[in-house]
Amino acid sequence: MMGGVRPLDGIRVLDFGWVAVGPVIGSLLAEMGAEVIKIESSRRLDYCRLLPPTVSVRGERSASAPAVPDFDKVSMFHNYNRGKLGITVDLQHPEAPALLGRLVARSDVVLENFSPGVLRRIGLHYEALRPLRPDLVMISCSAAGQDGPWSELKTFAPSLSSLAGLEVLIGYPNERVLGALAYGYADPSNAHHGALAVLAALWHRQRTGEGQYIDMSQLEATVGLTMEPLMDWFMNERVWGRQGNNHLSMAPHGHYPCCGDDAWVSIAVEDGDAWSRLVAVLGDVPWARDSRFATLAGRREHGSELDAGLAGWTRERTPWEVTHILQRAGVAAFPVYGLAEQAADPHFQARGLLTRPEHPRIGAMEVYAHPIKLSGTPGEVTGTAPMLGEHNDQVFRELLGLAAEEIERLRAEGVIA
Amino acid sequence: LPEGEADVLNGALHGLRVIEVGDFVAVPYCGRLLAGLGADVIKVEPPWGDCARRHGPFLHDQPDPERSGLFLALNMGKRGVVLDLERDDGRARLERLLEGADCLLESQEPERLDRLGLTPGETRRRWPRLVHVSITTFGRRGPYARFRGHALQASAAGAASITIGEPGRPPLALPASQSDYQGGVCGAIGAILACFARERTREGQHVDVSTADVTAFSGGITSTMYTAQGMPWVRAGHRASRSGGSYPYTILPCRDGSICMISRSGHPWKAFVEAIGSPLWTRDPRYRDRARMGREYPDEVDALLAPWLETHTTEDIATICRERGIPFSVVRESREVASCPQLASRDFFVELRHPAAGTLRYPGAPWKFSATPWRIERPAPRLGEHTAEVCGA
Repeated sequence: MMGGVRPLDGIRVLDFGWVAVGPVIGSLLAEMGAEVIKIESSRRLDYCRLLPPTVSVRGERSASAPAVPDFDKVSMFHNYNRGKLGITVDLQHPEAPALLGRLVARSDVVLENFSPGVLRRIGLHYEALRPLRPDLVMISCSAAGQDGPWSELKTFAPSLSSLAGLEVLIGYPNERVLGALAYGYADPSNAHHGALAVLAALWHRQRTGEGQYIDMSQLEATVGLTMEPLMDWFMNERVWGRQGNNHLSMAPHGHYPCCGDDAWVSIAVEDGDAWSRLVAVLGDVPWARDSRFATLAGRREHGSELDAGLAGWTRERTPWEVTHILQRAGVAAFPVYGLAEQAADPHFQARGLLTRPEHPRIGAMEVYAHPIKLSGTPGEVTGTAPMLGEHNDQVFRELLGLAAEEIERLRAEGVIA
Repeated sequence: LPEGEADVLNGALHGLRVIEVGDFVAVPYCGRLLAGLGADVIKVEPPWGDCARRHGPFLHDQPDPERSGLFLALNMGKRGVVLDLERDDGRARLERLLEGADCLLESQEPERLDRLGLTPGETRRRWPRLVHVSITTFGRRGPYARFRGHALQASAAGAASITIGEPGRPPLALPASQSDYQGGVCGAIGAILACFARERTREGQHVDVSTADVTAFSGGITSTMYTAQGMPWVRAGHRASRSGGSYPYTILPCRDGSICMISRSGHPWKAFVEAIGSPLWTRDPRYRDRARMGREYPDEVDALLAPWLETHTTEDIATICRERGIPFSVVRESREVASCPQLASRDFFVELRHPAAGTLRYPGAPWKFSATPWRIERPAPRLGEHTAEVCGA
């Protein structure tokens, strides 16, 4: 640890992000040392504040009392927004652009993931902000980018990855599309691609003093993850359907049944040497020595017999028994984990997967730490997500230097709201 | 640094030199991102080449190390050298490259890293300003640091696979090595962060990215929506577990394809019900409670929708949804993605000529930078193409 240095010390970020992609960019930058100010409005709450848990309107949890969201205690909101300051400004108020413009003048980065045009309509687009802060770095990351026939596209993570050609790959071969609907793959992926662009622009600014505007398309970032099917189309006009657990250059490659309730183990064999190591530990099983399985092409061609043979061996063992046997032999294997096994796992614990920032009024909230581990200047989850409007006084009084009466006036007139 | 007009067109990371010693997807994707952003990326391959050269898909289905689509797409924009790191002269050449480099990207097996003298401790001792980025399945620290693994194991350990597939049947991994791509982008983030820190500390450091960690984080942040509502983080076929709380949260087949249907607020569902002509069943109270429909009997609702869906094409449905502001989307294949009008209008795909593979289209960058355009100026290197240029004869 190098004297408490964090990579983004001294960088201030105005975070107009909402729901997922923008907020997760902000939380990553916060973890790495930036001061991130999340701009919200009680007139249009971030969707993630409206998820359960709910409390009754009288403040007690009860099945019969009318329930309202306990919007300061939503677990997912904390996962997406921890470590930020929070202010509330009604973006539709005529005085909002001037007030926020003063914050932009004191900030290094503005990030947003509204539909294109939302900030332009209220005068907070890049061309309007640049005169206030000539070296500003600003990123917009809408679903499809700022221009083009689909620029107004609205999506959730799985509908975006459906359009990107990723969900169509997910399912058992020759069967219907299943997709990965719960996992929400596209959102964190897009947040990471957005964060990378912001950091590259900050690097350029540090060297040259020049800021810039980044127009990111979530659709494009997700299409760029489908290299194999895309290249097969471009090269051979072949269309990929459901892939199961198949892999072009590994076999076996799949999740195999074990003894136990819904217990599975992942096994991947990357080359002929790994296949020989696997066959050696399987012991006296004639099927594995069948010449059809001697080459990758043969193992792929006869994949169902191969998988059935291997499943016959794994089924007699627990996922961890298989994992220990195979890892000792130098074959890639690991249990298929659920959340509980993952949280209890000593490896994930040693690497700090989960952490519990505390807040004097909200209490402790368990969140997943960002997975980029720096040995010398590690990031740190510095706190929970803010309560709604928690840092209005701190930001407007201490950062902007507004008098208490002025802050009261802005509240009374519904600008801070 | 050069100043004036010549500087204007440089990429954001112009001046950073990156040495890449890792194959398949994770390290190459990381290197590709950094190359497109302006870094000078030198890819070091063994004499037998990156394993992605043997992966495919191959041009005209003819296996050829210079015509693997995955390799070509992941390695454009880089120079490529061949060094046999099992030999003294190969290692010496790599060491000379590291002398002048800002970042090392690697994904070597731990035993090989020890043998090559390239452990994070060793690179820190020999090249104190070097940023050493590892992208591996389980990371370089922790009890499983010496486990073997691939994207499949990252998907399993990261609690992604457990959510994909049908109950009672084998879980499915995130497709086409997705965990490796996510490790790649996180490695690129870590590389730049460490370069920022170096401006203050004057020292490089080790960036330890585990694709299992990244997979666990990526699903984990969203899993809290399920766990906080008492919904299990398990696979439920063509829909999210318990429909994520309310119907629909699913992919359903239609006449010529599939549609992804998600309605978090009530409005899109109401608009969709009107669009299909408000059939009688939609007035039954049983099919007006989206929370119960999603959690308790989604199969019934799927079956009621099937007759309409089976008689409408993806194009019909997309038009209806666009006109009514319903955020359902078509589940597209690569063929449709390749001809997407939105991607075409933004010039997303780029065309590059490769001496062995010919002129091909490739996915480009997801960003438009106003001052430092993303740019790929050269195709993927042929095996050893730049060895003499970079390392001398």
